[in-house]
Amino acid sequence: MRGFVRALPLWVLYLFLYLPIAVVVLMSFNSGKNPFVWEGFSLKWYPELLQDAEIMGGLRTTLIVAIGATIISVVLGTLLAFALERVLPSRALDAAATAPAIMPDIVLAIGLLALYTLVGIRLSSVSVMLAHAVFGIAFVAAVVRVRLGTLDKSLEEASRDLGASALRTLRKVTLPSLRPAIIAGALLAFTLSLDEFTVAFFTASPSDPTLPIVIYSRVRFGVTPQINALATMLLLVSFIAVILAQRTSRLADSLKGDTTE
Amino acid sequence: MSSTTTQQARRSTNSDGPVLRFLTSVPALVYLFVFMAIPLGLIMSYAFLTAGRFGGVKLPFTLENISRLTQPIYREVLFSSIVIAGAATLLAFLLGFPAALAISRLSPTWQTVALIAVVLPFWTNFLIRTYAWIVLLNREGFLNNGLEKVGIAPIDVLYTKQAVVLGLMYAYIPLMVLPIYASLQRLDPSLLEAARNLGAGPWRRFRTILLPLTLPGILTGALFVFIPSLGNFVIPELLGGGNSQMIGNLIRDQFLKSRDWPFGSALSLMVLALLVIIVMLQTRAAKRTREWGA
Amino acid sequence: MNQPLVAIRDLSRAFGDVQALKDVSLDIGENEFFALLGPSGCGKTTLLRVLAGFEQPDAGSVTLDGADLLDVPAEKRPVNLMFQSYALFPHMSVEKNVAYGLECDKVAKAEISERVADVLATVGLSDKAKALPNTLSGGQRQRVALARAIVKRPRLLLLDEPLSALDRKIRGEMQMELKRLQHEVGITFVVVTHDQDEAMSLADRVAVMNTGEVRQLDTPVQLYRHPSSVFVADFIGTSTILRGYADSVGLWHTQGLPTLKVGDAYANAIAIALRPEDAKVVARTDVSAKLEGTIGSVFFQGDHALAQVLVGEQQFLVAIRDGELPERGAHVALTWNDQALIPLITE
Repeated sequence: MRGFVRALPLWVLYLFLYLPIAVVVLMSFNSGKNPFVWEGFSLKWYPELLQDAEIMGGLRTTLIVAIGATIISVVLGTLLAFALERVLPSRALDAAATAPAIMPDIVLAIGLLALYTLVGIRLSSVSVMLAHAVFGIAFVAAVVRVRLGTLDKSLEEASRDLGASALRTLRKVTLPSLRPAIIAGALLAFTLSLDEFTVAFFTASPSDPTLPIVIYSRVRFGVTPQINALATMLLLVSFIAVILAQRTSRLADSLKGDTTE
Repeated sequence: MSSTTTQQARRSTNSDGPVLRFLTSVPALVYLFVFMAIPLGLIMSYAFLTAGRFGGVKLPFTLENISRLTQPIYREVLFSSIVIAGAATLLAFLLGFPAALAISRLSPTWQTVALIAVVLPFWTNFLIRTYAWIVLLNREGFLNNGLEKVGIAPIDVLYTKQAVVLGLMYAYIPLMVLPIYASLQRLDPSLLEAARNLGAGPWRRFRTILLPLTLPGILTGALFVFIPSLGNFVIPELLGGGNSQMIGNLIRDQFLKSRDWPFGSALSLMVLALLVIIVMLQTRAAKRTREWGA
Repeated sequence: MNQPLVAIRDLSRAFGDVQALKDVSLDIGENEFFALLGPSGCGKTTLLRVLAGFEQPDAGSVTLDGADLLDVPAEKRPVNLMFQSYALFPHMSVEKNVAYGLECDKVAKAEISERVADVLATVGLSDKAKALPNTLSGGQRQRVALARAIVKRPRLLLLDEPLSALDRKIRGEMQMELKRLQHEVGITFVVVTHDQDEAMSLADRVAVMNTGEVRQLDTPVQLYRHPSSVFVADFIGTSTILRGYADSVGLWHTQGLPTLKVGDAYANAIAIALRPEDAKVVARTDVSAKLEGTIGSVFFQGDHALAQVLVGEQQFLVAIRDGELPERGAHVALTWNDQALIPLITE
């Protein structure tokens, strides 16, 4: 009994976190037009999404941005993880690598807008992609770094001892061991980009918005059942991505056993 | 982990050659420099420039933007932003700390599940999560429907400052729970037992042992809630209606509507200044905790 | 013992499939230095935690000064614990650590400073009052932990493996310190340890535990000279154990050895124990020789040496105090005083 009371704040937290989400998901299956009143089960809003040109356009743009940002993040983030963990450990570098996480997104957003304007880069899905990669790099680096820190060095040393060059060892021994962490980092970077709003809002082309921007402009005028359906789909994708990331790389463990800091 | 042995271990892999060293550290750094450091620098300098005709900036340098910040309207927005963000942070702490404590007391397998369950909502689109509250809190929304059924008059929570606080807290609370949890994990459980054995009740144990020793984690959590809350413009807009303007809204308006970039940058400087203050506090607390050997 | 300070009756506690405590009953007297001794997993730590209030037993009772102790919550018990890891609060100075318990009791500030200064003087740490725990040595930290527990003048002071974390030399010093302290402050100490040297040298009485039961409760001298079971004979000190039986004519039979002459007291014994210091190595031609054997390994211990003597398959341990140390392979004989053979009734 005492155990239940002890865990009460946890239950309250979960209720708080998931109730709104549950409501949105539930209402996406509402047959009625009124998004607040339940009138019966229906799947009709989902196919409607496919007919909506603006939403489909936003989806296409978002996917392009997310995939592009993920690729950049994975490549540079993994390299950064190596630099931090193996090659050039330093406090300053650490700070630089975690800075994107504490930077307020609105400041980064306007900063990038300023940069693009100054240099004359036209706003498009590429400008958003480059922006999202900033966060992505930090996340991938963090995830890969943890894994790198727990790798058995003797495997690499054995490879060098057998005559393989540094590059070869990297390709054949180290990277494969890192694969789960890289995949997890990629999933996280992808999801992050998929859902990111603030930076995209400032760096996207007005004629080529990402999905979150489309949602934003719709929601400002009120809640509609189509939005519920769209939201549910996005939630599903995010959920799956995070759970997959955890499965492949046991991310939570790095939180649990982390003794460095 | 002794720093000398790690340094030695790292030095041994430096024999990997200068090529590797270049390949690994430089590309990411260059990228981050171009796409993060430079934008930041631009904003910090734009704050001291003058607004251009159609947006953008031009010389001369001026302190006018900074002094505009001290005008009453802006002072008020600044103040109320800090209050709202502060309230959201406090509430996030009040719910987040006990929740983190509860998680740390679960068995290891359940801890993983519990942590993922807390983090999951954070990785979803925060617009959706925000507007989910609109669905719940709207005048015709679920909350009021439920209340009506029980016979209570509908409450107008939406479009108030309280709704904004709630929305902000909701958006960022997972980021309060995680660092506190991490701090709790590093705490030696026998310390709490010793305190109990010496006669300390739960409140005293929290005040004299838990709080001081998890302070770095708490401050990290506060950082991750307070700063994004300050800069958020979506939640004040969607949940606060016209009532609550926060710094985020102001910044966005300056950049996209009024096209007064220098002033918008000056506003951002405020946010950055607060960020720096909290980071310094957190660093100091972390350093102290390390000195204790805790 | 008239009224024991602590009376433990039929205490049982299981963790899943493992029975940590099985109907444990014992008394602890006022002002006693008591020890719970046993290998890891024997239940001694569980018993300690039950006394401190961190575990609740499944069955049984514990009374302190005649009143039920189990009902009292951990923070209100007049029982203080010195943790194996000391559990000093890292963010508080030595003074603040020691004062903590008194502050919880809402003692007046003036009295707190007085009592803290007093107890720090008692443990010899007055000059470290403002220091932080991580600047102190292991021995100093332990003294702070002790001071913190003693200052509250508890009825019972529990010490969890107090000497295990210390170096050999400091251990000896601390042993004397603890003994002296206990005398000086007049508190009942209960030490939990797996180290028999610790228990035997510190305690007035020792409860030897194994697999959740108290196997024997006695003074150290009695435990050493008259172990009642094979387990205790083996655990306390070293000895040679000969399993077998005694026949009707007073002869002891152990497989692989010739019969040995014993008295009537061995009728119910399942084994006999022989302490190394009660045995002697002699020449095979010596008139007192009882068994012939060969020297195996010899372990030099400083004031004596321990020699393995192999008699057939059976290994004997014999102490050698003076003279030349025998060589491996030497042909020798063993002898002992018949009264020195200890009958062991149970396993």
